[in-house]
Amino acid sequence: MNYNKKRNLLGYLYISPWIIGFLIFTLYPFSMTFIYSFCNYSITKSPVFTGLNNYIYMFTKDMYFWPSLINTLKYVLMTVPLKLAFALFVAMILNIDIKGVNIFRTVYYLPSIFGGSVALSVIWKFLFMDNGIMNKFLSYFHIHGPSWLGNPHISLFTISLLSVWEFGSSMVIFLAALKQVPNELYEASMLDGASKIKRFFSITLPMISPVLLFNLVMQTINAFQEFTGPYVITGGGPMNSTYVYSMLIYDNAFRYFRMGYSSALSWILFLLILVVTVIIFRSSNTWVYYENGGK
Amino acid sequence: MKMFKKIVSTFLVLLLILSLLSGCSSSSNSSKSSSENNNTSQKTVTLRFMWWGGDNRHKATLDAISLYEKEHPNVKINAEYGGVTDYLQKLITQLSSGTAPDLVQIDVTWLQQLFSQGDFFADLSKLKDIDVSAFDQNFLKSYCYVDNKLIGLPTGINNSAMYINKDFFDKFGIDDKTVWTWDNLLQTAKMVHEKDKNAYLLDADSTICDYILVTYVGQKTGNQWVNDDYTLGFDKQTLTEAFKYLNSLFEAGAIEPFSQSAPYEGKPDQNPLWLNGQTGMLWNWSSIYANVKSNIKNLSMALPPIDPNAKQTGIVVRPSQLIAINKDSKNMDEAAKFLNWFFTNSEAIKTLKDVRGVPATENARKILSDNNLLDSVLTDNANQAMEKMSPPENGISGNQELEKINTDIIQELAYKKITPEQAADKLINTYKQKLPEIKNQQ
Repeated sequence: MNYNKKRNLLGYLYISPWIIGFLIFTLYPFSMTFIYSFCNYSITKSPVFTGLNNYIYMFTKDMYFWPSLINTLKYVLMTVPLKLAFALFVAMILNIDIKGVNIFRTVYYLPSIFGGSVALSVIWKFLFMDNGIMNKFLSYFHIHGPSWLGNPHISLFTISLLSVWEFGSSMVIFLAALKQVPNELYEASMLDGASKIKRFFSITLPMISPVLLFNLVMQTINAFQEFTGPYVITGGGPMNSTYVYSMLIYDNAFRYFRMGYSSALSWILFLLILVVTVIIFRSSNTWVYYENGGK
Repeated sequence: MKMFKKIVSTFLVLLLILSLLSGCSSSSNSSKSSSENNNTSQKTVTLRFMWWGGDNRHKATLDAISLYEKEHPNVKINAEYGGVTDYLQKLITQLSSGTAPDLVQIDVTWLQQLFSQGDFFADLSKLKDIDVSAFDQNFLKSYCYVDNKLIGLPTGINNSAMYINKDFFDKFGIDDKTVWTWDNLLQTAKMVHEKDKNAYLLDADSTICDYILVTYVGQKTGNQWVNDDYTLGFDKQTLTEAFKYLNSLFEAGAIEPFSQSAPYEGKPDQNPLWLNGQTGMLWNWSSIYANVKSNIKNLSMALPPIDPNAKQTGIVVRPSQLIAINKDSKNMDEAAKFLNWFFTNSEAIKTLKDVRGVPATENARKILSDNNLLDSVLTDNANQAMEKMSPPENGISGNQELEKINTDIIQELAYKKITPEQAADKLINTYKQKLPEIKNQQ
């Protein structure tokens, strides 16, 4: 064995825990769901091949399929732009050089550390109850707060807010990108008399657009898979207004024990995310600016 | 800034060292204890026991377990307990992967679903360490046998009941001994809400409205909700009438608007309005009595409303839960011994009291009442329910998917998206699609 081979092998050895984990806990289940998606499979009995039945049933008969898909799309359209805008906004504030700004950076990142946890969802539920802290707070301004969790028009937004609040990881990435924007560009534009807004749209945004693309893709993928929030906070209600697609997958798998059908649903979600991601990447040619011309 | 970083990094290093140290020390502890066990002549048996419940039940069961461990030093029982949410999902996953505990608490309404998945539990009538003669054999026959095998032993008698906050009733001048019919329930509810706009007679979420719907229909028809052959047990007219009644409850302010109670959907017993005495009645199972009593001090009970011309009462009396032994248990004999002790030992009975409802054995009831440990409110209610009980509900009527359809439609009705007529149409049409699907799955 020559030196190079040995070195490569050592490298693989170092990352082997991850590779083994990936093979057993990600790739294997991933491939198996593809097979199960063509079967009638309840968890304790062996699967029976049924061809495309699961997929046909999904599109033609399942009364929860389209509503839950629409809820998920609504959720994605609400959460992703809000979260990115908020993360960028906070990142820009934290980019200002003042004393102790690092403490603020840490504090604003904290919610993301708790990210997606059940405990946090429970706290969220208490915050937004009818007589919860949120409405108490609003009442100081003589605003009669809405029924955040009980009104079917607002409930999905309330859950979306939880995800927006966990903006930390996007923020950190934005912050790193903002630090990379060369100062001379701003100085030159200031000399030419560009306003703050003009500077943001003509310099900042184009310069960080690759990072914006990255965040957009990551957040979109995450939002499509949202489960903990609606499951813990509203349980899909009221009137199924927060019954998102991942809850449909969960219910079919673990409440009705239709693992085959649930696998098929998962694959449709996978394909949907894939298509959306490809569309975002394709569109990026028109709005993402690479300093080196994208090479 | 450098100083700050230094402090932070020192802190983190300290944390790391601490966690390493604690890791080491705990492992050395465990190795020590295991070597001690090897020295004792008797072999240590570890059993796992899983149940769901509220705090009272957890505490009493844990006390009983430590009592048993004291009497039997060679047996160690690991308790695995929590709420009922997702308990069944967890159990089926464990059963199918062969990691289920030795002793499990199960609900009789799950038996159909569990047995459609496979055969997981030991036949208790075949285990010599268990004495089943203490139980009422008819009760066992109606609920605890599947395919002539005794699947589990009943932890108590559970019946559908109305919990009454007596302070609330006194405030509005309602007699807590009232025998409820659908009519006087509605009239009383109207009166309450007219007197106080923030008070509601019933504490109900969509699941409890589903009890109302199904019971109302069952009393009119005398049938099961869904017949054994997967056909509907009711016609459209009866169903429309039931939805109309439910709607009149919503409109009369008998039930807190769903938009307010939404955060407590599925846990009406935790609704602050109920805990603060702004709602007066909770339709639920008598097996949660101890838990309700810990929140509502001045508690009374009644039977759910019964139509004077009812063909059946719709009052369910069934085991609170069953405790079953996993067929694949490695320590079946020890599990059987514990189970027998759990149901027959007088100390165990005194420790467990009524945390799983009124005990199902006469002996246990006698021991508890001799020691004044049994609440007369609860036993009186159980006796009333047994007098009026209906035949057991069949498996399909309690199906979870059907229940979701019901509660979905009830919510639409409560939010005034549909009329009672439309609700009835929708339910029947959806059932016509769903029932054949469920039938094909079995």
